This record gives sequence, C-alpha cells and structure tokens, in this order.
Amino acid sequence: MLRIEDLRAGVGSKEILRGINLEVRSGEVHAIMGPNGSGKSTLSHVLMGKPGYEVIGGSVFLDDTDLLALPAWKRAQAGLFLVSQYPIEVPGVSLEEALQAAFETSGRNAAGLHEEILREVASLRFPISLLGRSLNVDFSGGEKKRNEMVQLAVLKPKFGILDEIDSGLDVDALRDVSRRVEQASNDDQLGVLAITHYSRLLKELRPDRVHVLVRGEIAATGGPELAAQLERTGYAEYGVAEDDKESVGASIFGL
Amino acid sequence: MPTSSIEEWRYSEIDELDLSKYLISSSEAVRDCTSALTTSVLEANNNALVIVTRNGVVDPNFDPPEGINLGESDPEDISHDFSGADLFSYLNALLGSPLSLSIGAAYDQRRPVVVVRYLDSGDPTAIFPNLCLRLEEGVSAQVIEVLVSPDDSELLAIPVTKIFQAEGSSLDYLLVQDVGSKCKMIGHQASRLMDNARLKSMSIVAGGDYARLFTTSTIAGAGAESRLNAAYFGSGQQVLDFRTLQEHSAKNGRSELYFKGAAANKSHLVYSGLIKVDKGATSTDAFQTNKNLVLSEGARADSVPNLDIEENDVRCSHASSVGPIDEDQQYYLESRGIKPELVQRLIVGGFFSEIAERSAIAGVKEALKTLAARKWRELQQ
Repeated sequence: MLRIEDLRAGVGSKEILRGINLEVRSGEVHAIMGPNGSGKSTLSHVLMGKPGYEVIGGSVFLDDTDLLALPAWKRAQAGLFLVSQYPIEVPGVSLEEALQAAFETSGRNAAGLHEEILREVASLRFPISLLGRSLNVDFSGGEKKRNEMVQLAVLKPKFGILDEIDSGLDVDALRDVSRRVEQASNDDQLGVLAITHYSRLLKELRPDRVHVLVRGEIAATGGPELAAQLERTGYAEYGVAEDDKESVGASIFGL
Repeated sequence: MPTSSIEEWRYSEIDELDLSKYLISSSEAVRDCTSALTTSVLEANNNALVIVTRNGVVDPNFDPPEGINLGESDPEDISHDFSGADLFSYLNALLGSPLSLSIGAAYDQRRPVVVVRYLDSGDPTAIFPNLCLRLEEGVSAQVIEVLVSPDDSELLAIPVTKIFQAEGSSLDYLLVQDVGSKCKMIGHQASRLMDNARLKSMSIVAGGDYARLFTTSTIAGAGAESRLNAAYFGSGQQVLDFRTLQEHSAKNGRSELYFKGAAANKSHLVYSGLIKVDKGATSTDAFQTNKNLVLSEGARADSVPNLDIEENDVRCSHASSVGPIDEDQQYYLESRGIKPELVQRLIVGGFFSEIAERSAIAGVKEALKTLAARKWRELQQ
C-alpha cells in the first residue's frame, strides 16, 4: 500500500502541494486528475525523489518503507516506479544495459533477463529494432511510453506512478499500455497512481478511484463517475477557468 | 621552439618541454609490450596483415604480400605539402625512419592492415615514427595503427602519419594510442583526399603524460568526404591535447568531425579546431563537434572551435560542450533503481559507445569499453 499523509512540498520557497492525503492499496488503480498548474507533476516528482523539490512536511510510506527518507534509486529498489512524462535520452546506453544495472544493484539474478525483455517487447508492441539502440534517442512519443512500460513490466515494482502517460500516445498505444498496466495490477497486485489532465486515459485504464487535484489539494474523490462528470463540466466548478484547448475531454494527442 | 603564447600552443605543455634531455633513438632492445586496450583491437582483427615496427624501424623479416608496397622514401604524391606542418613534423622528416606503405588493387581488401609501433628505450629518448600511407585509385582498405610503449620508458614520441587517398579510394583508419605514463607525445596525422575519396578515421587516445595530436584533413579533390572521429579519456595528471584542421580546397566536399573526451582526476583536455574553406570550394559541407565530460572537481577541459570561410555557397557548423554528467540522465537512470556509481559508469560508457558506431573497424566498441573501464577504476582510486 502507498500511504501519503499531509504531504506538503514545493520548489524553493513556493509551496505547490498543500497537504495531500491519499491511500492506494496493492492491486488498485487510482487516477489523479487536475488542470494545469494544480501540482500533478510535482506530486510525481516528489514521490520519486527528484532533486530540486523540497518536502516541507508530511509522510509517504510504501508498505513499511518511509520513502521520503530515501534517495530516488532506493525508492525504486523499495518498489516504486515512475513512468516518466518525458523519458530522458541516454546516448549509448541500451534498455537491456539499464535493466541489467538495476538487477545488479538489487542483487537480482539477471539470467533470463534478455528473454523476459523480448516477451514484454512483443506484448507491448515496442519495435524490436530499437532494442539495441540508445534509450529514448530518436524514439517517437509512443515508442518512449511503450519503452517505459517494458521497463515497468520487467522490473515488476510494487507501485507505479504514471505521469501523464497519455501525452504523446495515439489510441493504439494508449490501449496497449493500459492493458499491460491492468494485467500487472491483476496478476502482480501492482498499485497504480495515474496522473492525467484528460479523461480519455481513464476510458482505457478504468480506475477504481478518481481524485481531483486543484491548487495542490485533493478537492474531490469519487468513483469512475467523477471522471465522466469532469468531462462534461470541466474544472470550472473547482474555481478553475478553463481554456477551450485544455478541456478535460480534449483528444489532441500530445497536448 | 614555439611557446604557449601563440594560439596553436595555447593550453599546451610546450613550455615545459626540454628537447635537450632526449637522445635520438635506435631500434635495439625495444620491448614488445601490449595493453588490454591494444590487445582487444588486435584480437578483433586476428586475420589482419600485421607490420611490426620498433622505434620506427620495420621488422626486417616482414615480407609484404601482393598489392602491398613497402618503401623507405616518399612516393611522389605524398611529398605534397600536407597542411599544418610544424617544427615537429620537420624534425620527424629529418630524423625519422620513413615507412611508406602503398595499398593497391591486388591486395585482399577484406584483410585489415595493422601497423604496430613498439616504442621503448632505457634512457630518455626521442622517437620519430613515420608512416606514409597511400591508397591507389579505387582501392578500399582498413588500416589500424597501434602506438604503445612500456610504462617505465621515458620517451618523447613525435609520430607523423600522412595519408594520401587517390581518386575514388575508401579508407577506414583507426589509431590506438596507449603509450606509457612517462611518454610525451606530439603527433600529427594528416590526410589528403582526391576526387570522390572517402576517409573514415577514428583515434582512440588513452596514454601518455602529455599527448598532443594534430589532425588535419584536406579535401583536395571534388566530392571527397572525410569523417574524423576521436575518443579520449584523461586520468591522473594527463594532458590530452587535440588540434584539428578541416581544409576544403575543392568543391562538393564534405568533412564531419566528432571528437569526444572525458576528464577524470586532475587531467586536462584541450580541443582547438578550425574549419577552413578556400575560395572556389563551393558546395562544401563541413561540421565540427567536440563534447567533453568532466568527471572530477580537479579535472578540466578547454574547447575552442573556429571557422574560416572564404566561400559563400557552403554549409558549416561547429558545436562544443564541456560539463559534468547530465543531471536529468543521472536522475532518470537512478529512478529505475540503479545505484549512483553504476549510473555514472553507464553514462560514461554510453558516451563512448555512441561514438564507436562511427567506425566500421572490428573491436572499436570493445576497445572503448576497455578504455572506459580502466579509467573508471583510476577515478575510483
């Protein structure tokens, strides 16, 4: 279980997350929806431990592990995985080399790693020709996200944060990625926090709970019907002026 | 003697060089030494024709196969004035033992040619290895030059390699420099490409106390193409000093330079390069990139790219970067659960393996891995 209690955090002296409370049990899929600037990305970075973000108060536990006390790589070792919104290009380092290094760090046996990668590459329809290439270098938006999912599937974390995974994804890729997340949550009891601006992801991913994040606070929590309601009304009822281009139901890929 | 106050020698260690302390070399009692780096390249090319020289003198037992011409004097084409000759290349011409190697159409082009240069002496000694390499018209070849010396040997090595490529010839060239830590080196590699010739060059530089390499390439014939790559990794107190000149004196030429260096411990990297496009060299494409990774607080890299364009119809660019490991790359890999030291090793290894793809010669990728692993160990000490 991921348990977030009264999490307050920001950048420099600016407080962006203003007391987040959230519990996601193993095998559950929760969505966090919110307009731009509500703190969605900050939440994913603070949970993963990106340098530059400052925790002001509160706690985050993954089962019995106090995540906030650990650097990013130890949080990952404890079972947290962030599907990054903008996966970074790493010239000269292949997917397999990176996964091998992650296995080496945890002392996991890497025998069979290659075959496992091939299985996941096939199931996620990641182009096999990109396997030997540098991580994320010259990958399309969809290839980057499929690649992130291959990593998640091979590393088998306890908990996955999907940061705007729908940005840059076409409908097919969105479906493939959602199916794999669903499978992990059913088979491996993966807990999921899916962060998104748009409701279209949630038609594929089908969350158990939906939370609305506004100005650094959870303004509402409900079942899947909350996402449907947001699609109709937008974030206006939470006092957020909505730009047409950014309506909740917008289907402009990558925006 | 030049001094560091002139631009070509700025940042160099020329002021500390005392020529008078070195004897002139002989080829007696030269120890054949190897390193993991040189061995990895030689093993990957175990079908190669190997020519061994000791302090510049060719092994007298060497018997050249068909299509290979060995000589001691410059063939006429090679006596062309190569760009960038300086005091040291004149000293080489005066005191060196020239080896001229001509590769003709009768040579089995699938077989790489390796020139191994063992350098060694008991006393502080100056050595002037010299190679004039000529590819005849339409010939394709792979040539690997290995420079190596024992760690305890106090040397001043002044190697010169001149490459002449006739019309339509194609060369993959690799230099592996892994001399000992008491060796100072001032080297010059020059190439001259005639019509439609293609050169793909890679220099791997690992050794030496002060190691300078001056790389010049002249597009002398229309439509010629020169790709100049280098990968180097400084450690300890090493100074690795690279100067380059891409000269276009014919039209429709292309030159692409990509030099990458990493600096660990208290090492110092220098890069200074010039693209020169002469009047009349229209439709020229010329690019120059130098990237430096600085891995330790005491390490340093200076990068000075330059353009000198006298023609309008050209596409030229230069780019350079100096900096530590990228924070975003570091965080991204750490967020996959890889411990920080391992992340750095991956990124540095990746920095070099990316450039390895630019050489078609076998063993380059392995060699760069060997180099990165060795320097990484020194960084940890």
